[in-house]
Amino acid sequence: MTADSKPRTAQARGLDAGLDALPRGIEPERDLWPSIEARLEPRGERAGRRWFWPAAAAVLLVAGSSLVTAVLLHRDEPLVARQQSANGPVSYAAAAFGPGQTLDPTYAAAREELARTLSARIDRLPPGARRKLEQNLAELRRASAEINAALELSPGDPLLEELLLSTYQEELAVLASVNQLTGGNGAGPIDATRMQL
Amino acid sequence: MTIRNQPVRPLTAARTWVALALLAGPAALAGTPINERKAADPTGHVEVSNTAGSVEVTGWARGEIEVTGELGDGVERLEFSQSGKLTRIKVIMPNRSSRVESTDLVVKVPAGSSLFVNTVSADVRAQGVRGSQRLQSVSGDIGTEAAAEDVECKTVSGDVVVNGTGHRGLLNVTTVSGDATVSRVSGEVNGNTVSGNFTITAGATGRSRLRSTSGDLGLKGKLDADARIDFESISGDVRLDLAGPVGAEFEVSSFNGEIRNCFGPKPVRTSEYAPGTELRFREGQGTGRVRIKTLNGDISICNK
Amino acid sequence: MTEHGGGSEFERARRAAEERALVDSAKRGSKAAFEALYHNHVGKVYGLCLRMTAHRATAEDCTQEAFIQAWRSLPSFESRSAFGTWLHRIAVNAVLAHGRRTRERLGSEGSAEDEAVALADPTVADDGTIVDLEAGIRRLPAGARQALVLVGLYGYSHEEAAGLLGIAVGTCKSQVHRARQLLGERLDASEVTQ
Repeated sequence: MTADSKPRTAQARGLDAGLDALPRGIEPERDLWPSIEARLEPRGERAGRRWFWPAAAAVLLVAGSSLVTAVLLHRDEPLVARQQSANGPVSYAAAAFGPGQTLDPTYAAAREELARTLSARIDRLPPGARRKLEQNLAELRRASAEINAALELSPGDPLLEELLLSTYQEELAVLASVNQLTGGNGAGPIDATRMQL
Repeated sequence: MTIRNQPVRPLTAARTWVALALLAGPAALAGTPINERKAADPTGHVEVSNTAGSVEVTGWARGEIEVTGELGDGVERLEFSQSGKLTRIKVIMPNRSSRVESTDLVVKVPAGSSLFVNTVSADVRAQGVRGSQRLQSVSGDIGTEAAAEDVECKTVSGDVVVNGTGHRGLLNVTTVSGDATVSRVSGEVNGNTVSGNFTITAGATGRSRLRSTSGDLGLKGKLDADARIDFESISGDVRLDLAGPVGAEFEVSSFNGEIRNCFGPKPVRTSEYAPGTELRFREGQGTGRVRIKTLNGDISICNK
Repeated sequence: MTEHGGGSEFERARRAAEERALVDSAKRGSKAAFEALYHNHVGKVYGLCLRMTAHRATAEDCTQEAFIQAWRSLPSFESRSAFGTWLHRIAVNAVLAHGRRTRERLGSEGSAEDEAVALADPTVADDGTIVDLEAGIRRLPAGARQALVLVGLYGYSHEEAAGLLGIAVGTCKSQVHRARQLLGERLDASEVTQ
């Protein structure tokens, strides 16, 4: 603080004293516990909660699946998550979004649908590309695991949440992208073994 | 304008081979020479499909499409068909399993055409095409020029090189592991990669949004006065080498990475209780905005 | 962060041990234990939320969100830091997250500030200073208010507060300064005692 004239210094001291004297705690006017308790999930189950897509997030791919397109456009609305989906035929585990939350089921369904289609088509990829794709999908899963772990220690951290959302969107975009790229170039099923690649 | 920085095998070898083959006669060839032409709408749509080998598309002033090159041995046939303003050029593979050689397609199209190219491992090169472009390959490399229309390049493991021509357009580049280099592009650049490195150089960057998981992101060049830069990476490093006067607000944050700033202000810890550093400052007069976020990647912001 | 504890060393140690037991129990799933933690900490959480949002209904929402988030995250909470500190941080994030959602929905500075319903009319208590200051804080512009509440009341450093609020440290300091000036001016007439 710059040199103050005496009255300001007195004011500043008085303000400090006033701030110090303010009670840190204020009891709410009504008991909030009942409404809190109603929303506490029993330990052991993971139920989702309402969360929002950041309005600024954008996904760059247009996929063939209308379900995926619908998810990608659903960016500004609150999406309520429910129980995580049961284990399906896909190798991708249902995704967490920070402690105690799971991804919106519509999103999870789009992700599973793409993953399923991709598993069927992955043989169409030349071996080198297939290996790279699998490595990169594994990398995306590692990234989301790492961010989820960081969120356990810093729940609600906005940087972490944004990076996590971005990673899930990236994964969805990669799945959509590869599905599109292997969706047939009109030349019939591609037999990678027959080609000089 | 030529396309520089090609990191892949040049096409000149194939073309030389074709030229020699035409002189020598078909019996000396492993593949079959292609030489076909059709009249075409100056702003029509051209689709080219190939599996392995190469596709080279050049825009020219004639109202015609010319297809030359060499059809690989074992390929069933080349489809070259038209329906209204749409022209399709496709390498058709046989249904029976047999060894198939790669095909090199050299295509010339009216410069105002829009272009869609789809390959599996064939490299793709385009230049002088002024309509919108969508170039896709699973593992082939992609190189093109960006004019005023939208350009989209998508690949899993191939590399992408895009050179601008001074117009402001929209460019979307997506790779999974391939690297991407975008030069002299103004307008809007959106890039998405998992492990590839993505570099934007020597343009006046307007809007640019890059995302990577582990690939490095780089921007070298000037910022428009109202630039919107939004770079995000999980573990890749982000590096800005800014030229000329900089006028922008910077919001930079990293959970575990280091932030280095040549413009003065130093990053601060976001909390005593959790990792994370953050840097917010304003440089110069413009209304630009630069946002950079990483989990583990280091961030460096410098003036060249 | 400052803790307003009273009593002897022994009292504090006893309370700390009690709290650790409650936290352990709540971690394993005891809602009763969590309820006890709620009662021990709701005042401070609500106090922070109310002063930062200057809007009672919003503060109640943020308080609930904070406890619910804390319950969810409790399995990964380790007792090396104090539960109250950890909970407080969750509360700050809840307030700011609410603010972001509101701004995004409205595309402006948010209705919480615009429509801040006046709390109970300030009455002049025997200690007139406290009531006036509380009201003065409530009337501050949002940015200055939040910075002052975090730094001047709840003991966050400027760096921490800036990080939480998403502003530059310099901006945080000037917001706190601005808040103090406004409060000083507003308290001018009411004879702040020293």
